[in-house]
Amino acid sequence: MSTSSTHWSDRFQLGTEPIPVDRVTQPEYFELERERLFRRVWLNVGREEDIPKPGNYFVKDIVVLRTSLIVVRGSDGVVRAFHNVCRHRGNRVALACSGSAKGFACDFHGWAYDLEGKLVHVPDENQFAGFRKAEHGLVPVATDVWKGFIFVNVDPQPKESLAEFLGEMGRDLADFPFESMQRMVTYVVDLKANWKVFLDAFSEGYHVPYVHKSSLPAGFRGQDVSALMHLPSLGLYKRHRWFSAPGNPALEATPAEGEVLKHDKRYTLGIAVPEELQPKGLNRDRVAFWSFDANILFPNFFFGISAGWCWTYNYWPLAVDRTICEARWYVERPQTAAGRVAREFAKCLYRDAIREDMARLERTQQMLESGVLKEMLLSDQEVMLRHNYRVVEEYVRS
Amino acid sequence: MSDTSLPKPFRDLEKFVSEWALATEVERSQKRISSPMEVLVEFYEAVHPRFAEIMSHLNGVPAEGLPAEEQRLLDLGLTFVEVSNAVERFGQPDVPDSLDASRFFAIEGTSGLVPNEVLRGERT
Repeated sequence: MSTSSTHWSDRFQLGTEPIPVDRVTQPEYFELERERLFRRVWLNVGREEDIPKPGNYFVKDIVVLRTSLIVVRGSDGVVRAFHNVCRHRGNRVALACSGSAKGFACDFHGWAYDLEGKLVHVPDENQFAGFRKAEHGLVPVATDVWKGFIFVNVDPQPKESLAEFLGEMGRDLADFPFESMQRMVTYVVDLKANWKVFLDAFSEGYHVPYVHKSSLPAGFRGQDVSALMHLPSLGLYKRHRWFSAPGNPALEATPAEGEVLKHDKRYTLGIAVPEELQPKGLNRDRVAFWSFDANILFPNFFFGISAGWCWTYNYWPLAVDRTICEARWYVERPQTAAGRVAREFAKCLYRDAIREDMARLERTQQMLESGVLKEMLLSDQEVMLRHNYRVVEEYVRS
Repeated sequence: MSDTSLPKPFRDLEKFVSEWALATEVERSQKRISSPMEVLVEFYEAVHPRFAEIMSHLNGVPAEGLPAEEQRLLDLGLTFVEVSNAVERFGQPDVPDSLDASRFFAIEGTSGLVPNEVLRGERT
């Protein structure tokens, strides 16, 4: 008799079937994802502190949406987004990556728009027959902000508000003080891998003892470090999902790490975070040896939160076999220069570890494209991946 | 005061300043990856016995707007933690079996805005 574990897949009724490989290799499937998924959901494009003052803007080219967006704080302080396309004959309006402006002028024929997207100037306006300027503002995109994160939805009539879309996940993290966190670095990586293959690698702990054998030989394990990393707790919502990762309560620190931890117990990876240092709203099931919570906001936004630091991934598909990942590392603002060193230590270890994760993805994509395999096998520990493939499939078939 | 001077208790480490007190992560990680292991070990072994003292000194100064000597000590400390993983974990300058460092485009500091040619995959 088999004694295989189906604990999570039973609990969430996700089955145990293999996943068809064409979901990550077939261009037609990717086109359906583009039209039926990415064009219909809320997507995180930045943070409020990127545009703190009226007139501050950034331009975000989103290849999977085949558009470029201007995200701008208006004179009234409200954050709005517009397609970066002139209403005259379609030229790109804002050319810089970011800046501060009183408005936006097209460099083709001088049409000018204000910060709220209104068309305010058309040279030789009376040459346009029956022209009504008020009807030709920049094309707006639904925009909203949650905990400082700016989201857009390019569906001209979004089926739900951002708050509805975030649902339980938004409520779970309502107390987390993102505003007290400071961004230290953004890494951008362009990989020849499907966006789900990329996300999958950060949605399970099964890989940890193998992929991170050099960087974290005993990290992210619970009390029994000889055991494989099993997720102690996880939650699957309608679309979003989270898991708690175990931490090692007896992590044997390296010499430099030991000094960092004497200064501040929070600034390394893989260690069990003492209960009194765990942030509010995290470690939802109060697991005994906790290191971080991974929160995956469908479809392409991941944020991991530990104590004193958190990180985000935005996965932007370029094609079925290519993805740009923006990885950002945030820390609680340091008070002293020693605190700065401690944060640097954790950041360097994190960066080294994700370079291990990312080394496997192009090889995986390449071999999946060989066509040798028709299916991928998932263990019960990879239930997060199973959930993602199911939700994507629901959108694609909708 | 020269442009390599450190706070008084750390004068013996001044010979490392010009090469190792580096201001940015890109410079520090590049220095680590491009240095032979014996060079990294020499720097590590010189700084490691003083690291507790460095942390204790830096704990008395603010994280930003430091006097020049303290800033150099901070930069030296930042390079030390960068190098420590090569020496203590990997036994080689770079991370074994990892994505090539040149494929990581790093934007340091609080601005997280990514150039659009990078987002479009057109970075050369």
